[in-house]
Amino acid sequence: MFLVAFPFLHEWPFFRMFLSEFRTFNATMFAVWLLVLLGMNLLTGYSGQVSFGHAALVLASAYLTAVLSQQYGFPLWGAIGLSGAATALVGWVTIGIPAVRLRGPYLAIATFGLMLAFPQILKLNVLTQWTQGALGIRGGVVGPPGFLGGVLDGRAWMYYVAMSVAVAMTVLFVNLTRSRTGRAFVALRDSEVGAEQMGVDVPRYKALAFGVSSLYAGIGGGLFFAVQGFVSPDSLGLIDSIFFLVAIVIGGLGSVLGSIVAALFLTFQSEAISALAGFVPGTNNLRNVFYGASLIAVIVLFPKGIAGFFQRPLWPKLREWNLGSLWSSRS
Amino acid sequence: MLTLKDIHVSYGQAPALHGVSLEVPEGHIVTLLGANGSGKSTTIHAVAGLLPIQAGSIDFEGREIAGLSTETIVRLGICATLEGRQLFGEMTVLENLRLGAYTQGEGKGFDEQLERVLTYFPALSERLELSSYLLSGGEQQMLAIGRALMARPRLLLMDEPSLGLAPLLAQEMFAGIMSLSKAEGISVLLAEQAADLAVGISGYGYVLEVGKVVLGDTARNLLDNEEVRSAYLGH
Amino acid sequence: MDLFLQQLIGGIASGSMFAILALGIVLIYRSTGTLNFAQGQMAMFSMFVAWSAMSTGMGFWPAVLLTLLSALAMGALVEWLIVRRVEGTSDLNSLIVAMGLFLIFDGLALYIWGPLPKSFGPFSFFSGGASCVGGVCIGRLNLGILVVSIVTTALLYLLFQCTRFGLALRATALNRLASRLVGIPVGRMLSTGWGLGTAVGAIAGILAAQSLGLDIRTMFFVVLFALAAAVLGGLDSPVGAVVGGLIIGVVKNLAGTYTPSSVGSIDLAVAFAVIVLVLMVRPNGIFGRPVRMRV
Repeated sequence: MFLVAFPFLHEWPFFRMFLSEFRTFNATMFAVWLLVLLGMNLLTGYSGQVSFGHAALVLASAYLTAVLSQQYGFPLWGAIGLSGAATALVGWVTIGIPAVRLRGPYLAIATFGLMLAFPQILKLNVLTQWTQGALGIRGGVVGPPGFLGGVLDGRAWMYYVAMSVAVAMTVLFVNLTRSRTGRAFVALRDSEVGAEQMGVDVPRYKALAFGVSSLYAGIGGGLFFAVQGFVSPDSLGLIDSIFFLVAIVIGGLGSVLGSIVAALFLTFQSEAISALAGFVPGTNNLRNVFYGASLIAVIVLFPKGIAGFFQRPLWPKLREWNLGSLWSSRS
Repeated sequence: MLTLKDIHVSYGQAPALHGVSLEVPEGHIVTLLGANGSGKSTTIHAVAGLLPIQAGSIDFEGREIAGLSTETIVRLGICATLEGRQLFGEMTVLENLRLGAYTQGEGKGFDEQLERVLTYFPALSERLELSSYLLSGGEQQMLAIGRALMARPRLLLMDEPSLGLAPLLAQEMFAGIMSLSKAEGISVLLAEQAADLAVGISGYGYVLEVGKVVLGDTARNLLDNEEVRSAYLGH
Repeated sequence: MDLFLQQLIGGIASGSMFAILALGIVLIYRSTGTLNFAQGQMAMFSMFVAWSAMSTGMGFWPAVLLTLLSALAMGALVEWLIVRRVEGTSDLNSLIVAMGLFLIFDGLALYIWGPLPKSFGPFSFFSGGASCVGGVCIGRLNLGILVVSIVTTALLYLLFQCTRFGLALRATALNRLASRLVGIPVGRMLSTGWGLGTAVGAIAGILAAQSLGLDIRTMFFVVLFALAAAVLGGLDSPVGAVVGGLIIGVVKNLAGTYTPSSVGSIDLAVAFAVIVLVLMVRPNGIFGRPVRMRV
């Protein structure tokens, strides 16, 4: 109900009092980030692989959507679907399957490299006829279909589309993680050897996790272009990939609720920090220090993962906290 | 010289030692007997400072060493050789021996000590520049013991030194340990599956069962004890 | 031909800088198994320390010395305070912690020194006329970088191969349990490994700043080349890091010279391509050991 009514809320004087900053645009971006972070969480939180290049996948799909819809006349929604599928295929076949052979740090290096190199590839002169080089690609205005024309403006329409896709894919995600496949992912994260003994086809599931993760990144990327109406080589970069990681680690690895918290975090973090900087000067510049410290704190306190932390009663949790390790310094 | 009193050790939740007490008199060889998982190896690790001790005391030459770091324990004069030998495989024999003397510095005493150690293990002196993983099993065991000797220990802890050695070689090694202990005045605490050989060179022996000492006596009496013989000495 | 030789020499010079940054990454990787993605940002932080020291009127070399000492302490402190807590839990955890360090040093530098680039060199050692042999010249900047890199590498080699302390450092990287058995203070060695890696990174940073300037993002891309070098040489091989660095430097320069301008700049893409290629063909690099020999 709340999600449906959202675009209209701030039209009401009552909500306008404290919702003025909650623009529909933010809520739409929340839906986009939710998709991306669900994918990221599937990869890291469920299957235990790490990617520092997820923003590059999002960016690639945004570009593909832009090129298909602006230059080849594809309908926007078709272009998004196609880009999502293409990204999934790329993630599965060209990253996921080769990645199976790579241990953690090597995969991290490869994705880190992709992330840094990709904007430069987009700017290559030979690709300019498609990518428009450093200028980026602008999208047209997307309005609602005729019969809704009087009721919704373009922004509200975009909100409904993005939010519906996000909700649908979240439901799909929940079902996936509760299925045999989802349990296989978790088994694999907890122990590859153990998973193998349980009869899980480890390489297949690791690659599959990358594929599904890329599908979410791809759909998110397509919507990113649709919502922003613009994409350039510098729309997303290394720092965004790192923020994706920060978001899911703080939100909670291996949980859908965690991804939702993560998407909220990503949507509002910059406004929240700016607001905070109004009270405590310098906070803006210290932002990355907070985030870095939080990442480390979560990992140090919950070395076995934060998954399920919020679903259990408080008392046993305290014992899980790895507080002892803060004091012992002998190796 | 070494006295363990009521030592408790556990791995996670599972207790591994509950109340082990034993004694190694100066200049003697003492063997720990027991089946797999009885706590022999754990006892060695606990004395060497490789495992945290929950309760009990370890007295070495009048000093409490329970809870000290391995580094300190080595400096006090206790060295260990472990199962699997734990050599620096990619380093040469000489580098391994140099590392053995890490706590001693590499001054004048080093060459002297190196020469002494090599007289016990002449086979090693021909292979000083060889990577240690290229040595045979027997030579690797010699190197492990030699490396421990480089630190000039007064007490040597040995976990399964005969593991993986042919019986003849094992026999030779135990003979070596005995003569070494006599000549250098080094006390030895041995944990050994091939117990008959080990007890043969020992002065004392302790029998461990599920983390407890069930019997402790002179080696002579253990060899005469029918039960011990049939359970642990294989004849 | 002269153009080729010219670019080859330039490539070797910038490659030597990648080599020592890669060397720092390898030292840290060998000591605790952490692939330190924060290496670049930690180096950047040290560069700002050097800048601050010099802006108080300190000379270049004293400032460099001070920076190296502070980098040594900083790296050791990071290992002791943070890395040790998650060691041995999982690759995933140590990678996330490395990213946390990345953000912390990135943010601290922004907080302390602000977003504006600083002027940092080239200092007198790195500026002056070119030296020529025949038709081939090497600029003073490249010569300076090359000399500092060679000296750094040589000193590290002496430390690791010819001193007792270096022997113990290597031993700790090879086998922790055995190191404890012979009485090496393993924890202190691991901290030292991080300290050394960070100090070596700081040298690479100071060299990079001579041609690229000093900015929070200066090291972003330099790190990519260093990572490519480390992967190419083998993540656990110091020799590999040096050889890999030189190869990457040369390939980058030649690719830059011989790629038609209609294509555009491709240096980052080349580094990425090298990484992918190595991982496909020989994941352990040229000098890396495929299987650890354990005795």
